Amino acid sequence: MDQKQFEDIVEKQNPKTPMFTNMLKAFLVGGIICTIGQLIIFFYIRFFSFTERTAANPTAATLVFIAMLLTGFGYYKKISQFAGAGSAVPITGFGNSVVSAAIEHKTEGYVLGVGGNMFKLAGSVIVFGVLSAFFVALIKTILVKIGVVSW
Amino acid sequence: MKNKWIVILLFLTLGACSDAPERVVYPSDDLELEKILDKQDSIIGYKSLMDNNTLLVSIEIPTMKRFSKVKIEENIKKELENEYPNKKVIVIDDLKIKWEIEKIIEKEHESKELTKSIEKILALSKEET
Repeated sequence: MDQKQFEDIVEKQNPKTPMFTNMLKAFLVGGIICTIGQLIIFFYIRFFSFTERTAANPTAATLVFIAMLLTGFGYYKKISQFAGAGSAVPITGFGNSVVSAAIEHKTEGYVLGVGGNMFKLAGSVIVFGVLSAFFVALIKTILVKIGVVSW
Repeated sequence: MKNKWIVILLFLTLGACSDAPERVVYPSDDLELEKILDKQDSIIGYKSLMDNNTLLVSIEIPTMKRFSKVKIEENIKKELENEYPNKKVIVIDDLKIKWEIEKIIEKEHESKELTKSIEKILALSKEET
């Protein structure tokens, strides 16, 4: 039996992934998370002096904070088991990845365990974000200096 | 359990409900301004405040036209600047500004108070962080 035959047999034996149901679940839960985000934006605009443009920053922070709390109490695990990418793609997934890594390595101590491993998953996101923001800003600055676009 | 989900879903779906867009000019004696704003096809609603030096207009752009928001704002601003050359014209599409203008209209501020509140809103609109 060669590799291909083996793979065919494995594929036949495996239960089929319910793609459509998974996508629907991800769509619904992701949508609900975004709706909650929108409500938080309205809250910040209404009760604080944030405008539509600036309200996104505290909203992202609040959503990450809520996701961190939910992860700590063990609720986010249930949500992500149900929704998959629907709960991982919004910014709440970032909070979840930081706290779940921290919880996982807690037994190894606070510095080497929690501190050293907390950003194992989210670290790459932060580095990528900072680096790409730097390059985008650099390109825009050059374009503005040349006079192609304005701020 | 089922009831709880129904309540949560209702809360989330009804969260999108809002009033129909309004067209308000304050103080309401300026018919020329109303005429100019009414003939704009790219906006569905507006609220404006005017004192001796400033004309502040908060516009409402339909969702699909929001991609060209800056352009629409600039076009209306230019048109209003031609009509009111002595005034500082600010045209902005922002929920916060709209709500603040609504508050001022509700309180029916007079000239001095109006200038003060307009200055406050301008400071808000310049906020970057």
